[in-house]
Amino acid sequence: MSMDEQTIMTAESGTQEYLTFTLGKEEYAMDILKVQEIRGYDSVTHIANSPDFMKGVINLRGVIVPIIDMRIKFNLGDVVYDEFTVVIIMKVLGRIIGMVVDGVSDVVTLPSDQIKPAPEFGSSINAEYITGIGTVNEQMLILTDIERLIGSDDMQLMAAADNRLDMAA
Amino acid sequence: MNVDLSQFYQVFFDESAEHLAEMERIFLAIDPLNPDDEDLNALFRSAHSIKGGAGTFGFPDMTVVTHTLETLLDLVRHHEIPLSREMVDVFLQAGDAISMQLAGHRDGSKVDQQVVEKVCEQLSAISGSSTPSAGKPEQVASPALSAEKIEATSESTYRIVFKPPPDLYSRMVRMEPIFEELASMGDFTVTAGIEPHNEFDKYDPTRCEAIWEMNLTTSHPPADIFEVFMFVADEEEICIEKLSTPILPGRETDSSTETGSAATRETGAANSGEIMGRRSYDKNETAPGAYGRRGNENAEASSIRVGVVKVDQLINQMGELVITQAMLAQSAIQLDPVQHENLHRSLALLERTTRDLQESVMSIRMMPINFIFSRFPRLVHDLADKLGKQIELKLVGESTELDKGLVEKLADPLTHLVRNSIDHGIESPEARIAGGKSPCGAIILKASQQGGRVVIEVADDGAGLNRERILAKAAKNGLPVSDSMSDEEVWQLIFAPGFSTADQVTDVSGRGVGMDVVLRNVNAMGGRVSVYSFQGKGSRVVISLPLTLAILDGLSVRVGNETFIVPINSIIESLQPRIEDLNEVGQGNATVHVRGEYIPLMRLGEIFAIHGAVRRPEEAVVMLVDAEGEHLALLVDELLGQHQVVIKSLETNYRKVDGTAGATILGDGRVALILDAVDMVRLWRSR
Repeated sequence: MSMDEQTIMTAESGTQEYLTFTLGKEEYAMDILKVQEIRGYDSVTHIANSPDFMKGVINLRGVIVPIIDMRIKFNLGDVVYDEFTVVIIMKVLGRIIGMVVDGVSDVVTLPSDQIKPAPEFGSSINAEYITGIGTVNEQMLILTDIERLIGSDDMQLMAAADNRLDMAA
Repeated sequence: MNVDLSQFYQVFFDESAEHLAEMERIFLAIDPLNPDDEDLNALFRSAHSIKGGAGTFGFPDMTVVTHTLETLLDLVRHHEIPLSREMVDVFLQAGDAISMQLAGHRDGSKVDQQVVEKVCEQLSAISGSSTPSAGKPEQVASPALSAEKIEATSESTYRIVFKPPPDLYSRMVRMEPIFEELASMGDFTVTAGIEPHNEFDKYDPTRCEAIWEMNLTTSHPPADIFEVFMFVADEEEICIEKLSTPILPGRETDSSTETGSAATRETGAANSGEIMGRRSYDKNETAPGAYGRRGNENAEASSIRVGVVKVDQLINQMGELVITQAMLAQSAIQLDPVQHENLHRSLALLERTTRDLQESVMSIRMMPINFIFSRFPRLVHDLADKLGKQIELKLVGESTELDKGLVEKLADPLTHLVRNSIDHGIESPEARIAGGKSPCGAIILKASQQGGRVVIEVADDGAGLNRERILAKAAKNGLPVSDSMSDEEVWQLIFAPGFSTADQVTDVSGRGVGMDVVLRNVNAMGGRVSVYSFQGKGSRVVISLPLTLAILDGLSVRVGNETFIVPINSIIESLQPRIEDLNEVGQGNATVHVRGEYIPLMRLGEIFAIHGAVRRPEEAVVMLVDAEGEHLALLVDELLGQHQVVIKSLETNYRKVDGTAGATILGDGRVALILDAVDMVRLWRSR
């Protein structure tokens, strides 16, 4: 989420809503406005020569959506796909992308003064993609910057920069 | 008239652009020595319509040029001055100047006044140097105008008699605004009369049988009065006479009148049924003044302008319908055909209707390739003149239809190819005669549909590609070359970036933006480019494009648990190989021997890292595909069936996947990748 948006939201209400989800034993949160829908895990069409965490693509009502598995990406616990496996379909950077998580827990409202800056390390996700730490009911929440995470080069979800230049030329 | 005209500007711009294009087309096709009367009339009408529109919408700068042009064209069409090649060139330039002014008003782009003035001068020069009768074209075309010059400062009284056509009311014309406007020009009175000979029981209130007689005392010239009637009447329906002295308002029917400065004009003809206008038109001719257009209302009424976004949305939804229909069909297969006979019959009907609907929807986006072909006669004409060459351009198959998106993207590559042919291909007339050819070179632009593809050819009968020069230039550019390369391989070199054999950079070509851009543009459209050339006989560049970008016929194949779609048009044949036809080459590579040809075997399961794919070729199916002339054998587990598939981009939400041309959704709702034979070869080589 961009700084501008955050400033506006804070100025309006001082609070923001987050969707919390679990990856392994850790509790994460992302901006609820980025979430399009939550659905179960269906079979995917594999894409050859793509990273492990890129599970493949699915047909979401006529739109082809890539599915990534964060548990594989961040080496969190056992990777099993069953009827409880959840995919968060999100709209980030003008794209629709599905993210496999262990579970979706809640929607929480966090006033901005309850969000503390993130420590240097301590979570499985690189500190670069964390905007802060929040507390809800005595429980720690890691607030993720999902846009920056998805857009990062190591996710390989976007065409590489030089490819894009090549196409534009 | 307090109507905000700006809301109609776009219509005026569009129409004027069409008129200009039409004029250019005729000018280029016309034979100056023996012009066709129909063409001359059409030219005049176009110029007249633009002038009328420009006057009405308040673009006086355009009126000036078009007026001069119109005047000249009027003289030409009445054979008062002969048409010449030089005149056509000046007319073309005038058309350009008007286009420039039009663009200036439309897009706010810069108008080069010098060019406009020069064109005006040239036009005046023509009218000045013509026969005496046309010495003062202004006077002949519009005699009243000269009176205006003399008496511009003083007021004069005009008697205007307007005998409208009977369909005036049904054309939704209202007279009040016209009277108001006339009244705003000076002292104005109007009386209405009715044609006397009609019997009352035959009176039809929907027909206009009135005759209006008006008296106007004004300092405006008669031309201004005509302008007021511009959208209402043809000029033969209006008679404007100048009365000798200003008169008091009131009905003046039989005062002695003087007819402007044209002494030959009949007077007082209001009731005689033979009213003379400023010019007399051929009665069969389409009324030029009516509505300020060419009388092509019918053509316009039968088409509508729709935003491309709406059409694209329709095509997307059509795609969804095709998928849904496929899903339904798949589910129905499991049902007992006897018990569910009705359902099966309905589904068959649905399939047929869907297919028809799909064709109709796709045809909306189709447009004739003439859309781009039509710009080339002018390009060839101008460039040939500039380079001192004689070139005849032939267009073949202009009505071939192609997806709108493709047509637009084709413009640049084709322009480049045609420029190349003019600059490098066709030799100078002397060189051609020396080579035993006719001094006039030929360039042929040809489009045709071949199966699921559209083939566009740019051919010339010029010098052909120069093998030695290409090789030398390639070597200089550091490309790997050898003298033993085949011609085909040498021609491929011209597609290298920055490649140009032109000795010097000219205005025409040789700027290094070359064939590589053509190749890239065409490849981006899913097309291919091939070059054929014969020294001294000419060269031919062939572009082959898919008919549409949205839907293709594909064969679905199974590899392991995955399904892929292979475009039908790249498949040559499928076969079950015999063990003796398979040859191991090197490590893990193999070839298939098919009718004397050894074709490299590509295991799809290996390229796409699929578990459970059949390893042994003799237990699988080999599919021969064509990748830009190169043959390949794809090893797949099983052929599933033929489908029409809707191409979906993987790049919308993900990125391009190597070896594929996108993805599609199968009848069971799953996603399948569409293979791209050419890209697969690249992927396979780079392993």
